[in-house]
Amino acid sequence: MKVFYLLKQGLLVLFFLTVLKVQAQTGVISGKVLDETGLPLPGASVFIKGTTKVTLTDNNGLFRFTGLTSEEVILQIRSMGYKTLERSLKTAGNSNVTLTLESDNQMLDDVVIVGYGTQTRREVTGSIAKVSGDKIAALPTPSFEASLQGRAAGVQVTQGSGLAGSGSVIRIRGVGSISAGGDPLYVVDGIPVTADPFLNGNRGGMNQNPLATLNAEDIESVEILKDAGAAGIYGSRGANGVILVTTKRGKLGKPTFSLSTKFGLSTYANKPDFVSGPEWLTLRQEAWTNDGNTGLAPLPQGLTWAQASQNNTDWFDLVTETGKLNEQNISFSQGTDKIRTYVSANYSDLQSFLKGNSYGKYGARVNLDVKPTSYFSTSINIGYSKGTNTRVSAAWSGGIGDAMSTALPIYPVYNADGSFWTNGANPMRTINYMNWKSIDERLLAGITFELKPFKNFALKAIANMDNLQVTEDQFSPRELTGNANGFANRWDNKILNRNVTGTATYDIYLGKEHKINLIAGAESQAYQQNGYPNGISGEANEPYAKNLDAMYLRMQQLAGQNGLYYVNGLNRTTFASLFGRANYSYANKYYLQVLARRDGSSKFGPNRKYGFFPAISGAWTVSEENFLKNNKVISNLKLKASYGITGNANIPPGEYYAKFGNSGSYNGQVAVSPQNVENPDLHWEELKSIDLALEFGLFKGRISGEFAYYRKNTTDVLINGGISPSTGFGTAYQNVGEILNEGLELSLNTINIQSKNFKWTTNFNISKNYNEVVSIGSLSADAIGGGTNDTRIILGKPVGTNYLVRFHGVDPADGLPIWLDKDGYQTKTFSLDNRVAVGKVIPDYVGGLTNTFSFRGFELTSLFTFAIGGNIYDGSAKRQLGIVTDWNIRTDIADRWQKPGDIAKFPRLTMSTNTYPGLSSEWNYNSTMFLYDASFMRLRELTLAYNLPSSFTKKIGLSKTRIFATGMNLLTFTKYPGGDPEIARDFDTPQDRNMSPNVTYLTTPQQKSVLIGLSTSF
Amino acid sequence: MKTISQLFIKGLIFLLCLSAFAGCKKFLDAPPLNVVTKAEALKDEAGVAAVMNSAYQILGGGNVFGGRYQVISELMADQIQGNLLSGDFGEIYGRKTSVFGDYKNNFYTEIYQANFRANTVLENLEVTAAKRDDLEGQARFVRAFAHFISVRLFAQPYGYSANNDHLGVPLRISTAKDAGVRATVKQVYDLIISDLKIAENKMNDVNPGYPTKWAAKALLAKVYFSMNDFANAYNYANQVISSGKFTFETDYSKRFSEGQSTEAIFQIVNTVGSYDTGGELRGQFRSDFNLPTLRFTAAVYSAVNTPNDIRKAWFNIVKYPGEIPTTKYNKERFNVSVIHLTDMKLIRAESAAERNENLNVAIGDINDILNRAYAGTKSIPVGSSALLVKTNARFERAIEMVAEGDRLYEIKRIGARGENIDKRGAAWNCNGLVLQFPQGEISSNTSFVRNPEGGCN
Repeated sequence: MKVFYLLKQGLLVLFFLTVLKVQAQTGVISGKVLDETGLPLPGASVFIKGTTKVTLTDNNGLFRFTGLTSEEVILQIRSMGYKTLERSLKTAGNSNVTLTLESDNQMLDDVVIVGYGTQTRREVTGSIAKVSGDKIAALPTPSFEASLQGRAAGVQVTQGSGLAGSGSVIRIRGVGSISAGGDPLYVVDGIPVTADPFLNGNRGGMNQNPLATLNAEDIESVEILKDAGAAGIYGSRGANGVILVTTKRGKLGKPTFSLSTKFGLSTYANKPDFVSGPEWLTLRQEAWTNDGNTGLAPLPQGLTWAQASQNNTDWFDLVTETGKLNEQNISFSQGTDKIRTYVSANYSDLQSFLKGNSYGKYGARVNLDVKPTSYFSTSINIGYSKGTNTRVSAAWSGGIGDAMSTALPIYPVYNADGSFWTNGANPMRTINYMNWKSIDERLLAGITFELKPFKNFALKAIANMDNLQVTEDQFSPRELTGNANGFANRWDNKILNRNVTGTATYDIYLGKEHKINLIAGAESQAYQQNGYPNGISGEANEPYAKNLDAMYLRMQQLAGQNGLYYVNGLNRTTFASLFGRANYSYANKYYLQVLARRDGSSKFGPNRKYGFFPAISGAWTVSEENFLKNNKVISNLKLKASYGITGNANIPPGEYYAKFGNSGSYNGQVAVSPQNVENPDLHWEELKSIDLALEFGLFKGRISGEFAYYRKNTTDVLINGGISPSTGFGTAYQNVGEILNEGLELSLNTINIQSKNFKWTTNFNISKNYNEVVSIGSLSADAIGGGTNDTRIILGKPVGTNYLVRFHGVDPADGLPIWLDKDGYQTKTFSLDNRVAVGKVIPDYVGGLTNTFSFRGFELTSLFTFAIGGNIYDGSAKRQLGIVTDWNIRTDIADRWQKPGDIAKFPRLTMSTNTYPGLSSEWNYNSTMFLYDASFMRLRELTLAYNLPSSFTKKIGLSKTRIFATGMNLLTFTKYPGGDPEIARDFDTPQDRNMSPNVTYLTTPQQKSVLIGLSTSF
Repeated sequence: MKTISQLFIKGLIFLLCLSAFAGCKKFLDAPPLNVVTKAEALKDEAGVAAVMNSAYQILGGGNVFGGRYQVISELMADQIQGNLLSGDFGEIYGRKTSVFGDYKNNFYTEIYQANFRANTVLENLEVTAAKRDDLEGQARFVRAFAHFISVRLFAQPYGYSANNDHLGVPLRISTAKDAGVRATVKQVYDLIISDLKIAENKMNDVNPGYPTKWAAKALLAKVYFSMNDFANAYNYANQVISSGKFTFETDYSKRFSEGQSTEAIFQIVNTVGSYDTGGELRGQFRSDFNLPTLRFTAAVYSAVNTPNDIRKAWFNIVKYPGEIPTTKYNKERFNVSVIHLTDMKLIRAESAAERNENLNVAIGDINDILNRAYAGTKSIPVGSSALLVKTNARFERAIEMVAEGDRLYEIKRIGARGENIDKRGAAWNCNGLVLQFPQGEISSNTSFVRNPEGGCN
């Protein structure tokens, strides 16, 4: 509660300062700002350098300062998309001035957020991609980070699924981790926030996404720090890249209210096709007869043929419906040179296309900046949000997963008496009875004090907190449990995350050409969870959320049996760092940046507590050299290079010693159990990366872009595996192995047509990544893997290699599968020993193509995203297209062997694994038969917008007003027949998440949505 | 000016460091509070007892006696109607397990986790006081039981080779975490017996909810019986029965019920609300709510389908026509009876018959069981032959212990005596009647010897 104290202090200071009056003074400057075409430029910021005075131009491009004392001032005019202009003036009585801004297609003066500060694009020496907030808010994704897909080179975004609130797997420049989390660090307004997708484990076949509570409409920009030059300032947490989220702040100018409203509909983007009831029966019978049996095939769950023939249930259809979206945002922005305010409130309800599944959220944000004097300022950010995820089971846990697996078309939904049929999978019954909600309440708050005791020097003290309360209630009534009572579960978890940062910055100007910026800082972070690790559960007749008394009673009872276990400080982790950065620039041509961070972490033992992470980077703006300065073709040319070391320690705390923890009770007595295999030498994995890049602009920026090369070497890779299970443990953390990521990135922005009424721009980005496991110590192929994933780590192959038996084809003579053995010889005997590396889950290329056409007030935007190369492994197909069991069968089975001489894709049907020699289980029927090309392209976004003419909006008292219609995932092009080609299944562990995107197992498809909306301000 | 500012910066950095790192070492010495170190956990007797307690959580959990042990054993034996089973169950039923299969592999790891906890107790007895002997006995009992379960499923049975020098399972008698190496079956049995012999002398006579010296003796009876060592089997079964501590239930439904069955010699205790056992048994066998996955063969039912056999009640053939599910586990909750008096009586009777000694005792045991099973309408006469006793003991065992995971070990034990009794027609020592080791053993030790694979028929 220290932060509350600080907050209070801050408010007091604020109050005190507003009482102060500024002395009246006399000098006046007024002027007009025009664009290149001579038209007035509204909304440009006009600063008087060296003072706090700032104002905005009005709709006629006019501005005015009064009360100036000094005789000569320097005016600085900034506007997005224009080059910054500086002009010195004499304030002799009344000065009037006209200023013309030059457009800047490359936005070299655009401000880029870097860790602990800002730089202009011109100054950046690292690799940073910036995505503006409007692009993030444009799509009705379940969570803001999914909207990054296709927007930045080298950033691979795989959206989880169409489940409400689901997260995305984001990999920046490949994956360099195995068992430690491979997700980037998310920093919201300077707070490294909790983004752990495993807070609720993998309950119900979904990883709950804590980022889903953030409101996309509040986001001003997202900066993605990709290389050591940029992410290095985050040291031991920078190896996977950093995603900096900056929320909107009050803008200079009159108080303005903005409203936006959106309504939409959604359905699944793609689905696998399953056979109908009668077809299923025919296939079953064919398998039975093929196996040499006579008579009717026995049916699952004791069903008779007469009963089965009466049903033809389309379960997929039953568990889905048209989803609905309703999103409302309101915000208020105000800004003077002393106080700026941004206040917003939002409400949204996203009902997915799965029956009974929704994510509702509301939230509010206040961002306040106060600058009472030229030497002191403070900022306060408070964002509160509450997200309620109404859950349904998915994937292996049921629901739509059942509809794709064991809920057969020959099963009925209801018995004759109208009650639900219970003898086999019946997802409708579960959807009907199960009551399941997970509520995330989040408070992100921070306060910054900035003191500028003398010129060019600033001190900042920042305190932040990120409180996340996750409350999950699951209730199965007695209709589901089959017992006298129902059963309720409550999982209660409060995640407290605090950080305090102090920085000092000093800018040194030596002459006109030399500029040095120094920043030094210290930071500490403390993270812990408070809650009931074992949950609270017991017989009940309604959800605990609806009957708290019942829960308290239950807790008393548990306490009486030593079964109630509460912890303050679950997974507690502390972190302390020192960091510094020095930037030197000469004549806007040469830039050099040196940074270093020293991190200490409670995650590691005394031997390995601290790590040191330096990085160096530089840039040369060739186009500023005389020989290119006025070149007609090349308007910008910049070379960048960086080298540095970053780290990753995203593993649970306390793995360095033998942990013992409460595990409930037995016979009413407390039980304490060992939980891990200790490793006192555990330490950070270390990433050494090199980045070389070329930024270019041609024809005054009509064509601009960046071409980059990187090479990243991760050493001492954290691997959780490779232990003998007869020790009693399945896994143990160790630092072994080495991974290489090497790649090329290209981003290209072109203005294809620019005329008075019509403009066509294109943004294209593509990146290629090569990934290779260079070493895994003495571990063998199967030592890392397990869990639910079907991929492996194999020397010389990429992380997440499909390690499968090769399927050669079907023998036309007898319809049996022909496999290839390890050496490539044909064999009809299946053997796990014949598994070889045959595919990879990582695509070769990913990218996006955005085209924007504007014509008068109309704007049409399309975004295609794509992935080329890599494989999808369809883990469900081995059951849907393999041995005929009690699983649904896909329509692809039509291409199967039925009689001698048939040339077919799939072997003869059978009901017994014995038919295919050497096969022990349907689960082991993994082969290249189900390995597909993962290339796909989808129309991620198509938006048609109309900006109402200002002449009209003015009349009705509004300013910028926009009506728009957006379609998401309207088209998908893929060769994969099993449903949606964009796959991030539910994961068990971070290891699974690193190794098995693109391995599907009853994964819920992505959503396809359309929405219409209106945004306006007044 | 410049020097002043530089000084200022230096001072400031120093202050920042000081504030952030004041007691930095202490700040970073912040282990998660949901766990404690090994030294802290095992600092006193209560701590050691709590770790011992956690071993029973594993033994009684769904992965071992809460169900998986019985399910795997039943699937491998010959009483389940399994032709439509698929996935892991299909593979185990098909007697052709591979290095994969989570159901079996997790079972293996969990057994050894119980064993690890027992070893942890044994290595920390020095801090214990009054409970030292009992804790040592309990830990040895659990360690013996874990190895007994493991060696009977993952290796060919005792008697498969003349000297029992065929490969057994890894012997884990300490908490060291080195690579797994298979010991011979003889070495494993030697450990089991030596542990149990210490346990029977160190454990308490009475200890509600926990195994006692009588549980150790009963387990010894089972171990010797599985070795076809009838003298010792008789001796230990006889000690347990003669102790008078356990009485024969007259009501079948009580063997799996809440509260202490008077027959239970070692049981897993269900504590409503805080410790649940038997979940996997209910999950796979329970039949009052819906049709369970595991059902029995017609042959099993026909054995009880005689006019007076009241054990017919263990099957419900009406609710799901054509299917034979058991009703044994049709309860919301129950204690899992792991070793019970019926088993001891059957061991004593059969051992006596095999040795052709104490036949009157054996006939008494058989008649106790017949009397209960057939409601007093069936018995064998005083003076019956050893052969008749043996035949009856085996026949009744197959029914009495249905769905308790016993039959598989009879197929193996009797097989090792030279008789093949598998109703599915396989040889008792075929490859598939032994489970394959998990891939983890092989990937962590490339020279680990796998079991030969291949089915049984």
